Amino acid sequence: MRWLAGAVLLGLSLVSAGCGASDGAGRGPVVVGGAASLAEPLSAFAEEYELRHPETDVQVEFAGSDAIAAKIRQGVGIDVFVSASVELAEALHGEGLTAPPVSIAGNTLVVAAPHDSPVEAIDDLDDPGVRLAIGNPHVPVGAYARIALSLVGDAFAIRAMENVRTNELDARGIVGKVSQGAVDAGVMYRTDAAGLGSAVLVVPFAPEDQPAIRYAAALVTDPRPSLDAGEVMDELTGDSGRRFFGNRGFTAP
Amino acid sequence: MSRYREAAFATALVVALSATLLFLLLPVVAIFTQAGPGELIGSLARPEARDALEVSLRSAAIAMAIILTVGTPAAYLLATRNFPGRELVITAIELPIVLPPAVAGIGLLAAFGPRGALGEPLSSLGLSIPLTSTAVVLAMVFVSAPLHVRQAQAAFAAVDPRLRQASHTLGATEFRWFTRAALPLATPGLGAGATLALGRSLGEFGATLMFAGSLQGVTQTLPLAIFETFTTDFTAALGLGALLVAVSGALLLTVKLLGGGIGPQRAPGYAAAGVRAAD
Repeated sequence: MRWLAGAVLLGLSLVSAGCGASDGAGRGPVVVGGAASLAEPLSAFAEEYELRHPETDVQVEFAGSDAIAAKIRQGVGIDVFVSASVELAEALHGEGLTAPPVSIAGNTLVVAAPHDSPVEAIDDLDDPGVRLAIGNPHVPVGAYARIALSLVGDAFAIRAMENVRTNELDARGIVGKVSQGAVDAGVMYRTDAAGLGSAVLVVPFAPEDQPAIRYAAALVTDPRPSLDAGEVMDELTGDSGRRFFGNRGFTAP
Repeated sequence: MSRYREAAFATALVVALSATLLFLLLPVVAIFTQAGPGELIGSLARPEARDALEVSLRSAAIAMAIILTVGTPAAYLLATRNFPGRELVITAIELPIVLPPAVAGIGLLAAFGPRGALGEPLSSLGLSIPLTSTAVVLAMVFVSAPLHVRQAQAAFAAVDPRLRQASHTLGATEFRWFTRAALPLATPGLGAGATLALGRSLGEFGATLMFAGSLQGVTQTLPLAIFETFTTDFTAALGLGALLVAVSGALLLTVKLLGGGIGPQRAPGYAAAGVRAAD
C-alpha cells in the first residue's frame, strides 16, 4: 500500500518536473537552432561562450534551416535561429515569431566530386548518367543549387535536374553522399566541401552563376526566449561572433 | 488487510493500463483531431504523397516477401536444432533491433556502398546499390527481419516437440512436417512477427535516408515525404501522417485477422510467442 502511494507520488513529481523544465522563459539553457552547414562555427562559438560565461548553458542543434523554422513555428523551445537563408528568417519575423534577423555571414556554392567521378567541371553535371546529390527545394542549400543551375542555363538546369538521384534534407546529407561515393557529384557550400579535404575535387560555380547566400540570426520572441538568449544573440552577431565564421571560410555578410 | 491489498493492487493495474493506453494513443488521436478527413483526402491529392505511398507499399511488399521466405525457415532451424554457437547466432540476428537507425544506415553504406566491403565486386558487376529502390528494400529488410525471425522462432519453439517426434515415427519427412504441421501450428506467431516487421518497414526513416536518399517516386518513402513536408506545411504533414497511420493500421489489422485471431484463447502459439519474446 505504502509503496503504491510512493510510486504514484514519484510518478507525479517526475511528470511535473518534466513540465517545469519545458516552461521556456527563465534561466534555462539557451538553445541555438542552426543551419546544418554552420555546425562547426556555431559549436565552436557555443563552447567559447560557455567558457566566458560559465553560468550559461548554450545548447546547439543543427538541421536544415527549413526544419528548424518548422520547429519554431510549432513553438519548440528554440531561442536563437541561425538560418542559411535570409528570406526564411525574414518570413518567421513577418509571422511575429522572431525579432528582426541580422546577417552574420555569407557562403558560396560549389560542386564537389569524388576523384573517381566523371565530373570534372560544372559543364559535366548534365552529362547523361551522371549521379547528382542536391538539397530538396525547401532547404536553402537545395534552393540555392536550383538557382545556380538555372543561372548556368535553363536547358542545362533541366538536364542536370534529371541526373539528381537524391534530394537531401540538409547540407550534411549531401556531404555524406559525396564522401561515400554514392554519387558522382554534389552541389554544396564551399565550407562543407572544404571539410571533405583532398578526397574530392571542388569546382566553384562562376561568380555570375552564384546565388546570393547569406546567413541570418534572429532572436525567437514567441514563445518567450530563455533569459540569457539576448546576450548570446548579441555576441553571435557582434565582432567576436563573426570571427568564428571568417576563420572557417565563410564570407562577410 | 489482505483484501485491501488485493483491491489496491487491482486498482494499480487498472491505473497502469489506463496510463499506458492514454499516453500511447494521445499522439495518434492528436493527428486525427488536428487533421480531419479533409486533410487526409487533400494529402492524397498531392502527387508526391501518392508517389511516396506507392514507394512505401511496393518496397515493404518486396521486403516482406524476402523476410517471410528466408526468415521463416531460418527461424525454424533455430527453433528446432541445437548446435554450437546457436545463442551467438540468435544474438547476432537480434542485434539490428537495438541499433540506432543512423548506425544501420552507416553499416549498410559500409557494406554495400561503392567504398564499402562489397563495393568492388558489386561495381565489377555493374551494380550500384545506394540511392536506388533496392537500397530502400535492403534498409527495410535489415531493420525489420530480426523482428520476424525472433517471433517466428518463438512460435516454432512453442509447437510441442513430441508431435514432431511422433510424426517422424509415423514416417513423415521433415519437409512434410514443416509444411503440413509446423507452419500451420505456428501461423498465429508468424503473423505476429510479420505484423511487427511490416510496421517497422513502413516506418523506416533514418537508415533509408542515409543509404537510399530521397527521390520522389523512386526512393522517397512516406516517412521521408512526411519529414520534407513538415518543414514547410505542418497541416499537409499531419495529413500524410494520418495517411500512414491509416494504411499501417489497416495492414496490421488485416495481418492479425488473417493470422487467425487476436486473443490468446484462440491462439496458444501466439500467446507462447508473446511470452518468449518478452523475456
